[in-house]
Amino acid sequence: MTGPINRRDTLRLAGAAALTGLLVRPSWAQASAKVVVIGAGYGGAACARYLRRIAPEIEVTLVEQNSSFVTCPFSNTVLGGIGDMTDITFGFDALAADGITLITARAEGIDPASRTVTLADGTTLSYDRLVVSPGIDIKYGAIDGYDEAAAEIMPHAWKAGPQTALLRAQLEAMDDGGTVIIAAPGNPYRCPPGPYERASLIAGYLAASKPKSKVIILDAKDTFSKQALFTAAWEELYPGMIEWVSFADGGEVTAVDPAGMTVETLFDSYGGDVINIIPPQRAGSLVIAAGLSNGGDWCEVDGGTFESRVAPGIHLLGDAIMSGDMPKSGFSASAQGRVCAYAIAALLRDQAPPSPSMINTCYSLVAADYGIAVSDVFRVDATGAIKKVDGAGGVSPLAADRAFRQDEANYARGQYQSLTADLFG
Amino acid sequence: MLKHMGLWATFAVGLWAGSPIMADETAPQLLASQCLACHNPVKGNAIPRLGTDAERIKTMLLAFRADTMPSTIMGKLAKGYTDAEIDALAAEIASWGEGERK
Repeated sequence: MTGPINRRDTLRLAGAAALTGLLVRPSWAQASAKVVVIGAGYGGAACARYLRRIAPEIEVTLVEQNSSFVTCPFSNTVLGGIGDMTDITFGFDALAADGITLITARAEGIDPASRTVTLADGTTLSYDRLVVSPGIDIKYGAIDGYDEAAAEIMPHAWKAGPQTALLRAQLEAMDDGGTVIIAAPGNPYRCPPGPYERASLIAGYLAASKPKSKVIILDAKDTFSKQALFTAAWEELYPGMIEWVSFADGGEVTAVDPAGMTVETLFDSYGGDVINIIPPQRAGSLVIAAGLSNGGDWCEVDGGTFESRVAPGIHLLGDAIMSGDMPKSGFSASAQGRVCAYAIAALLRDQAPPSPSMINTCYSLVAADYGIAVSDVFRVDATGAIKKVDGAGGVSPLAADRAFRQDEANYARGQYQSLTADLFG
Repeated sequence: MLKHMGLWATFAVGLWAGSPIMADETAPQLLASQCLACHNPVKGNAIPRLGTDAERIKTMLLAFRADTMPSTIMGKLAKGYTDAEIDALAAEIASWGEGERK
């Protein structure tokens, strides 16, 4: 279109939009578009950085409440005593150097109608497109007696940071011969193999330092990620140390007593010296309060653009979304963040978003020198659902020698270094 | 920085309607962006760096896909891509300059 748009054109365009459902958006050649990203974890950092790289004309503001990010990936190495908190903590200087405007503040509210975000100090930010990667919140109260005070005695450590350090300190303080209980949640939850990697690395620490101790996993599920691989590795590395109680055997924890250090399951009561409750979860409270989960626990998005199904102009990433066949992992969130950056760049240029393709690879360490993996390739179908590509992907072979497991442990570290460098380095 | 501008036009096939109309093919840059999660060169990293020669990258991806080259996960991943996508990936990765390999 050439020349200024007069009122008649505007009306005609409005009519056309009403008829066809087309939204008329400002061209990207006009004043620079503003994208606000909330959350500087795997999803938000990836989206913000890739958006800067592929569409330098777009202003990117990143809102993050903490001054650094502690990764859940590799936090189990801290619990197992083969990693340190400083190894899993990342600052945001490199993102600022990319030209991303960083705001260290808690986002308190999102108003999809006025396209604004309100920060804790009352400041409002307006956006053309908003990206929210809020992670999970713990559903306190879902397990009877498990509230924020209980989490200081029976840590969840499912948001890495002080909770991780607390659980590690408890493990260090435990006497030899003690019992560590890990309560694993039902699906869906952040990091499906995480509870079992955690059990493995804690068992590794106990086997070396407190060999009369044991780990009991009380599970709200009957099957779990990479189950055959974990089970075989436990028999090989930690025989008799890890007991897994399935849902069918009454494993689901329904209540906790922090004062008595006991947990209740459907059929039984268990006492532990260290008790790690990984409770049911939901999308971060910010997006729940903004109505973006439509009253549910998780947010529905179009898998091609990660745009909300309920609020146009808002994109959601990572653990907070219903992501079809993709697991809730940091790696998935970063893959989605890249795709979302390409989609937003296209949409703000009035172009069609590129057809998405994503990878997820989740390594788990069973020991420092023993890694296992699940890998998949994902596409998006005509309805916007994320689907695994048939014939691709899979888990590590059940029959493999220790050199293969050593390779995958090395690649687990390599992937962690690579991905955190891509996002924060 | 990733290369980008020239190819956007190639994939611009329409305006955004309520539910986005996707381009028919996946942009090579987007395909390759997924490789960088693991193959982002960091000193001492056990994961090999991405190659610089398109023919060699293509040959390796095809061999991974055919299971004629042993791998831990690359065979599983390569099976998720068509011949055309492997061509596009190889060309895209090879086009990056040394400073762009992250």
